Amino acid sequence: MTQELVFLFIGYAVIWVLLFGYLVFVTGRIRGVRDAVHDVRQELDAQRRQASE
Amino acid sequence: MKPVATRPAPLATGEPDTEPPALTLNRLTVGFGRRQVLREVSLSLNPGERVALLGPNGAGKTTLLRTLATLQPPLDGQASIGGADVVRRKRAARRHLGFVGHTPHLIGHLTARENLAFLSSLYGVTNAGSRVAEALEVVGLADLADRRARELSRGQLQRLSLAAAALHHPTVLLLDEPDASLDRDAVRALPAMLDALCPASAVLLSTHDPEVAAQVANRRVIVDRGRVSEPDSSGARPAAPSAPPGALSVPFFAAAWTLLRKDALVEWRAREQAPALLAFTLLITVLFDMAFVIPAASDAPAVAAGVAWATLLLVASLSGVRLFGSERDAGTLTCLRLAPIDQSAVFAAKYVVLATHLLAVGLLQLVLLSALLDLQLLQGGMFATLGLVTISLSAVTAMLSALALESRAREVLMPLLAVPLAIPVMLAGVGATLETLQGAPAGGAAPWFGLLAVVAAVFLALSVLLYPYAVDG
Amino acid sequence: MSLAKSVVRRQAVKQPPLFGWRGFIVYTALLVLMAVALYMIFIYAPAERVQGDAHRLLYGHVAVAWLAFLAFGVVAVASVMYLWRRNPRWDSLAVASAEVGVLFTTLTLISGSIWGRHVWGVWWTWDPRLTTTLVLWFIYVAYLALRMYIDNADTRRRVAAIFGIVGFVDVPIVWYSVEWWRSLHPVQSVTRAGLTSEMVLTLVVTVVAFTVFCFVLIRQRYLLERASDEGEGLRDIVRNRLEELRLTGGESTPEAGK
Repeated sequence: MTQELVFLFIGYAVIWVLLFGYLVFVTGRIRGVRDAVHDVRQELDAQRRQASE
Repeated sequence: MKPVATRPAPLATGEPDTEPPALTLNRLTVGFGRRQVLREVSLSLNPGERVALLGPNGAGKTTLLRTLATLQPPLDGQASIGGADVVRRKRAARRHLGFVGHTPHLIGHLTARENLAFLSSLYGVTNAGSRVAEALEVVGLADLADRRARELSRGQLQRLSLAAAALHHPTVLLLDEPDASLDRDAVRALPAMLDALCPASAVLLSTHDPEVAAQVANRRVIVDRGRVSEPDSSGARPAAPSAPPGALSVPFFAAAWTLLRKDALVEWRAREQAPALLAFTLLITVLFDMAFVIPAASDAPAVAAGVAWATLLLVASLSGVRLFGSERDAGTLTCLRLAPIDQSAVFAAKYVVLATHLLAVGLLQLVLLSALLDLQLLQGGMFATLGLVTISLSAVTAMLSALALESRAREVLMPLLAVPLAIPVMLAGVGATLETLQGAPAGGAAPWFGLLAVVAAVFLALSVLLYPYAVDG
Repeated sequence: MSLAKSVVRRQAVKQPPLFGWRGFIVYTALLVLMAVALYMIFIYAPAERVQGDAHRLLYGHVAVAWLAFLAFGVVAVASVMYLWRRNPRWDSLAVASAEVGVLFTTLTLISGSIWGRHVWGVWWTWDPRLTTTLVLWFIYVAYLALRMYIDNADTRRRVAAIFGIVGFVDVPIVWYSVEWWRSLHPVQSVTRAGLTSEMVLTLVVTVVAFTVFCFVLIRQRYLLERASDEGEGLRDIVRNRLEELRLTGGESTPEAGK
């Protein structure tokens, strides 16, 4: 009985940990990439304003 | 400097403009991905005109010429060669096109004459023998005609490339920096060579040397800062002769046969693949047999079945690395892509090459395993299995070989791609072998030969359907 | 300069928010569904006659296995659409689904292995289902590797689309070959009988919960791919700008720069 529950626990734990880990990882990466893109865009806009003045 | 007019300037002779321009560029933007190198280039060349694209290195001349040569798609705008759009009617445009790039696209193991003869068959040149001799004479290589291309100097190769590009009287001849590898004398002789080889072709050449431009061309176009302009566009332009006809269309099987003969000749001379593959087969078969020598005492047919088809799968994925890769490394893939043939003919030829290799390897295997395991493997069922396995494996590997061309680390990637896809082929081969050697299993005959035939049909259909997407760049 | 400006303007696409009110609803629904599924799996569903409690692992296992197949189906459809329309969005969808599909296949293999250890007494057996899943895993890992090794974006998308189609067409072939192959040495199969209506309901709820999770993951990965595509585009714009500056700032006669 207890051994069965251990197997069950391990099985579902692996599934949840991997799924949520992936979700958190991907969402974090989106945030990182978007921030970087945003920064570069700001920089470009600033440069453009400078150039047109 | 005023920008080049979009419309072609009226002809100096005042004749009605019945001939279409040889080359038209309409607001053509070229570059890579989203990176624009040259923007909104409009230009038109009449037959017989020689125009120099003059600009510093890195100005985008090569990118423009490669786009016109249908080797990369434009980002925007249109271009047409002999009236055929270079994007929508690639094959028609290629019939009117000759291209000499930075590196020669010639086949090293063929002689100068054989190279030209090979291209004449791909371009459907009539009277090929005399045309080839004439071209060799004009570029001054008549004495070296039977020397292999890899033994020629760089300057000689460049002259041979010029002869190759002009063989079929192209409507437009594109020369990318011809002065980069030609010596001064050859550059001085270039106009005379062009006059003799293809007087009616429109020539567009790129250079960064104004002197060369003045020597060869009668019009100059400046490429600078991503734009193209023409300083003296008002000048008189020569009367246009009729545009040359360009290449003839070569039927699929003729093209495939030409390519196959070329591959066979190169293989015969270079012995690139066959010896290594046969030695590898010998080695792997002996290795597997040693590894299974103890269980083999009880179940020799099972060992034979496993070893035979697993080895063939490994050999297929290994030779897939070189199949298209060798063409790419030698720079000859560009030559094949420029030819106005159905590109599937290239696939057909490569398919036959691979299938021949695999058949030879498979037969060697059957002989070896018969001897090592004391089995009678040389029988009808085994030959049928070998045939069907070869058809499927060749289809899947030849296509992956074309797919992996642009990738890094092809050697590692090929087995990674080919083995999972081909696992069913191996399993079906094992099943069919056991069925042949032991009779149908007790649980009812599994339709192994049927499965092999279906797999062969599916893989062949997939590769024929999808190959055009693999190469259209 | 004006050209670069217009490009920057055009490129500024509206990005879906990472966690707006819609996200709030979706994530709440996801958590509720997952909680209900867990409750049903562990408490509501009765123990099975032969396997006892171990079968409770099968609800999750079946759900992730089904979603792995679904994700690979999405890869195939998106690949066909990419070759047809040449819109990079389809390629982003394909790569997102492929990655999520590989993740779900991995989970299928792990959960199946744990279950098999308990019920069959072995970590691995060449059961047709297991074998097919393993081959699938290899095919789509190869798909992701192929993408990694091609630098040119257009080539990468085109080549990956072709491989995505071939890989999916290969699935039924793998399935039949593996099944007939094992029929040479048949192994006992899982008994399908004895499913009560509570078990069926539990399975349905679990599948729905995991399906929502799967779509959330694919969407997030898709957004990541779009964002990095945008970054790539921006890099090209910056390179263009730098090139312009270099050309206008330095000597600009055609003879220069030899």
